[in-house]
Amino acid sequence: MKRTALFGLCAAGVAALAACGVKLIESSETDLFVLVDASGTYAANMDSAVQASRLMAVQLAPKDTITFAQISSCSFSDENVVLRSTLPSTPSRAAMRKQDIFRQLDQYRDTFQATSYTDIRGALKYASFELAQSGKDAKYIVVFSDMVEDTAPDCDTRDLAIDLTGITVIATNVTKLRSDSANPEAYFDRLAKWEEIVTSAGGIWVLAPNTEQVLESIS
Amino acid sequence: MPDWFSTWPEWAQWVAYLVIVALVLTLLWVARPNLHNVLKAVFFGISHWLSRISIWFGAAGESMYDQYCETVAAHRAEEYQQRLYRHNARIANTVSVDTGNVMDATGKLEVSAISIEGAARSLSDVNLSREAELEIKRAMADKDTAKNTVKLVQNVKTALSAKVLEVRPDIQKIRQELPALQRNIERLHESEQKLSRAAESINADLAEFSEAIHSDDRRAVAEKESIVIPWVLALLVMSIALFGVFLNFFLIQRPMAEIVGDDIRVVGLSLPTTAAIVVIFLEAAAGIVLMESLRITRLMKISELSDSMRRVFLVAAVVVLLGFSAFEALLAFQREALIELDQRTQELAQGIDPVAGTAPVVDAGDAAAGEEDDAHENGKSLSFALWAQVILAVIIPWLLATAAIPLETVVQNLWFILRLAAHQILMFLSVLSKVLATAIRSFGLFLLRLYDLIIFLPLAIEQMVRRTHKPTRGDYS
Repeated sequence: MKRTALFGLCAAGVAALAACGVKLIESSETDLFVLVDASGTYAANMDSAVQASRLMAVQLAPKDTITFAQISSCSFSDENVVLRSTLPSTPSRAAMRKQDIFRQLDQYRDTFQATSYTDIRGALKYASFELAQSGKDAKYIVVFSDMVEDTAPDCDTRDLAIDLTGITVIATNVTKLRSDSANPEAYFDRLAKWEEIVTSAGGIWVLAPNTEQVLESIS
Repeated sequence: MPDWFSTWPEWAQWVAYLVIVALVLTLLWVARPNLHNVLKAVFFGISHWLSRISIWFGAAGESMYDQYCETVAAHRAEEYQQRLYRHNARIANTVSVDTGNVMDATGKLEVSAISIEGAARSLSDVNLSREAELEIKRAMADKDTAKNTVKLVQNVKTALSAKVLEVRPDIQKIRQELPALQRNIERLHESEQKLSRAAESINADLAEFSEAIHSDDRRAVAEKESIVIPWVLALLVMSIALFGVFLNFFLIQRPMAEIVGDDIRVVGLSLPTTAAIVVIFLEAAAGIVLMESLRITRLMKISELSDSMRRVFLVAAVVVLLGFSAFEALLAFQREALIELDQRTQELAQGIDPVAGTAPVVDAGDAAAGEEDDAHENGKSLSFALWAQVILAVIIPWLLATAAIPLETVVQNLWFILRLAAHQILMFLSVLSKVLATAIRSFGLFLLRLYDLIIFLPLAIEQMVRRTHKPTRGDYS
C-alpha cells in the first residue's frame, strides 16, 4: 500500500514537472561557427580575430562545437575550414581539447595567406548549412570582417539564397575603410544592408563592437 | 439648483431651504422605525454571525489544543516508558556487577569477623588480676622472695609482661582487620547508595509515566515540558548541518563532472549538480542508518531489530560512510587538478604563457630567484588548501550522520508543532471575529444614535406630544 502510494506520488511529481514544461532530461549544446575575413583589406586584423576566437573557445562548455573558417575568394568550400571540434563531455578533456584548439589557431594565424576577394555570402551559406546539420540547440555565426562583399568573377555569389533560421549572426570588429572616413554613411549603409540580408534570411542580427559583447552574446 | 431658483429673492431661497430641511426631517422621523429596523438587521445581524463564527473558531481551537495535549501526553508517556526500559537495562547491568562486589565484601567481612571474634575470645580469656595474684602467692611461698618486696614486685611485673606478650598478636590482628572492615563497609554503603539513587530515579520516572497515562488533566501533562524549545534548537542545529551540506555540495559538484560528464541536464539541473545532490542524500541516508543502528535515534524500525541484525546495519553504514569519505577525498584532489587545468587554459586563451608568466623582467638572477620563491609559496598554499579540502571531505559525511539526531526531534515534534500552530491560528481567528463583531455592532449603534441626533427636533416634539397624550413609545436602544 505504502509502495503504491510512493509510486503514485513520484508519478504525480513527474507529471507535474512535465505539465510545467520542465523536461526531465535535456541537453543545451552550442554550435559556434567563426568566420574570419582573410582578404587583404582585413588581414591586418587576423591577430585580434584569433585572440577573440580563443576567448570564445574557452567559454564553451563540454559537448559544444566550434568551427573556425576563413572567408576567402570563394568561401562555400570545405577547404576554408581551419578547424572543427566538438568538446568532450568531461571538463578535463574539454580543457585539453581547448588547448589543442589554441595551438591550431596560432598555427593558422602564422601561416595564412591573404585572399584577393571576399565572398561573405558564400561563407554564410556554408556556415548555415553546417549548423543546420549539427542539430544543436544554440547556433551562432561570428563574423570578423569589414563586411565589404567583393566577389570574384568566377565565383559570383551575390544572388545566393541563404537560410539562417534559428541562427544568430554576430558581426564583430567590423573595421572602417579609408573611404568610410569621407563618407561615414557608407559604413552604416553596409551594416544596414547585412542586417537586412540576415533578418530576411530568418536569422538574428547582432552587432558586437568588441570581444566582451561577443562573449556576452554567446553565453 | 435649477436656474429659476436663483431668480428668487434671497429670503425666499432661505425659506425654501428651511422647508426642504423640515420635509426631510419629517420624512426621516416618519421612516425612523423602519430604518432603525433595517440598520439593526444589517449591523446587528452581521455582528451576531461574526460572534457565532468567533465561538466556532474558539471551540475548534480548544479542540485542536486538546488533541495536541493528548498526543503530547501520549508522546511523553512513550518517552518515560522508553526511559524505564533503559533504567531496567542499566539496573540489570549494575546489579550483575554490584552483586559480585557485595558478595566479595560480605565474604571479606565474614573472614574479618571470625578473625576478630577469635582474637576477642583469646583476649577475654586473659585475667591479669588473677595472674598477678597467682604470682604473688607463688612468691610468698618462696621464703627469699617473700622477704624481698622489690624482687616480689619484679616477679609479678615479669609475669604480667609475659602474659601481655602472649595476647599482643591478637590485638595486632584486630588492628589489621579494622581498616579492611572499614573499606568493605564503605563499599557496601556505596552500593546501597547507588541502588537507592537508581530506585529514586525509577520511582520518579514511574510516577511521571503513571501521571502521563492516568492523569485526567491532559493539559497539565502536556504543558510540563516545552515542545517548541527543543524543536527550535533542533531546527537550528539542522540549519547548521544544512550549511555543511551546502559547503559539501560546492566541493563535490565540480569534480563530479569528471565522473558523470557535463553534457545533459536533469529536471533543469546539470548532471554533476544532480549527481552531487544524490551523493549528499545517500550520505545522509547512511548517517541516519548509522544513528538508528546505534540506537541513538529511533526514526525507523532498525533500532528495534535484534542485536545481530543491528550490527549488520551498523557495519554496513560505517563501511558506506568510510567509502563516501574516501570518495570525497579523491574528488578534492580531482577538484584541485581541474582548477589548475582551467586556470592554465584561461591563461593560454589570453595569450599568457603559464610557464613564463607575465611578470616584468628585472635582473635575470633576481627574477629567477623570485619566481622560485613565488612558486614555492604558491605550492605551499596550494597544498594547504588541498589538504583543507581533503579534511573537510573526509569529515563532512560523518557530520551529516550526526545531523540525524536533531532530525529525529524535528520530525517527531513537527506534528505537535503543526497542531499547536493550527490552534494558535484558530484562536487568532476567533479573537479577530469577536473584535470585528464588536466593532460592527458598535458602528451600527453609532449610526442609530446619529440618526436620532439628526431628527432630534421631531423626536423632542413627539415626546412632548406623547407626554401630554400617551406616555409610552418604543425605545430601540
